[in-house]
Amino acid sequence: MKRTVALIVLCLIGVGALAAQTRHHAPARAVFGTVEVWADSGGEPIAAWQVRLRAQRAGVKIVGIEGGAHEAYAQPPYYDTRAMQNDHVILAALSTADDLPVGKTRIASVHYMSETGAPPRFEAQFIAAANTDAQRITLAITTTTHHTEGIEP
Amino acid sequence: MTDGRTQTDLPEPNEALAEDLRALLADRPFVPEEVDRAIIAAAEPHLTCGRRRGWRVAGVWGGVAAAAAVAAVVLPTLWVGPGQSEPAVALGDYAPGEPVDVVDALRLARALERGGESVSITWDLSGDGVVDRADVDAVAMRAVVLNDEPEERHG
Repeated sequence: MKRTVALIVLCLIGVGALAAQTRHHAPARAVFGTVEVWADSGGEPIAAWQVRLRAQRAGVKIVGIEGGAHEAYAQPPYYDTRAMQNDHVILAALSTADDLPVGKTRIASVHYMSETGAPPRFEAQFIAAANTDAQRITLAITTTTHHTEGIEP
Repeated sequence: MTDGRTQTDLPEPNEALAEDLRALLADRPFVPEEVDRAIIAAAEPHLTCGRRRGWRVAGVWGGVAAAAAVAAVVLPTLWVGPGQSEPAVALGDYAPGEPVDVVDALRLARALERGGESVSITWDLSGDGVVDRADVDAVAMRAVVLNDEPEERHG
């Protein structure tokens, strides 16, 4: 009888320890979302642009890149494929079309996954831009983040 | 003033010179003044016409030269080919290893759209022997490489 009770106690202790370990290493709920990259050129047409985007929190990975709102930049911009599954990327695009966006426009969208579940924050840094005459101009770069869905691991 | 002549310091007459002058004038045929006037009157219309015509010809050629000079200066700045806009900023040579950004790619694209005559072969980043749209993509791709992140550039 004593042996049976001891065995049951040991089993309960083992199950409890296993449950505690499982809770400790369980990944948090991952969050997917989109960060929109906006550029404001004032009154200049945007014939080319280049920005750097970097996540400010660990556990954030870039999983997709889309083009912008204007037809001239509807296609995905240039980027290094190593940016996928990475936390930063350099984006660039150019157009020689006559119809170019002027003022504030969404130039790209970047899809991300936050492994920690915490909402990420992205820093966007202006690198270069040009107007129709290929003269350098400055853009004001901003971002807006949208959390779209989460999944259980 | 004692001999009635005006006071000048004329030299004394040379007799030999006087003889020579008399001999010269003795052989000169007499031409009445009316004949001189008639000859001048007959010649004057031709001389006048020649001067006016000369000025007219000079004016025409001067105008042509001025127009040609103006055209040589102005026309190259006005000529814009079909599908092209104003000239973009000039594209220099590409130095291997030099950092590039998307503005360099745009300048290359614009230069190619204008015909590409002024584009240096140094922009053949794809290495296929010609500078074309593939090199625009190559420049842009080089600009976004993650281990070669350029800083913000001006100018």
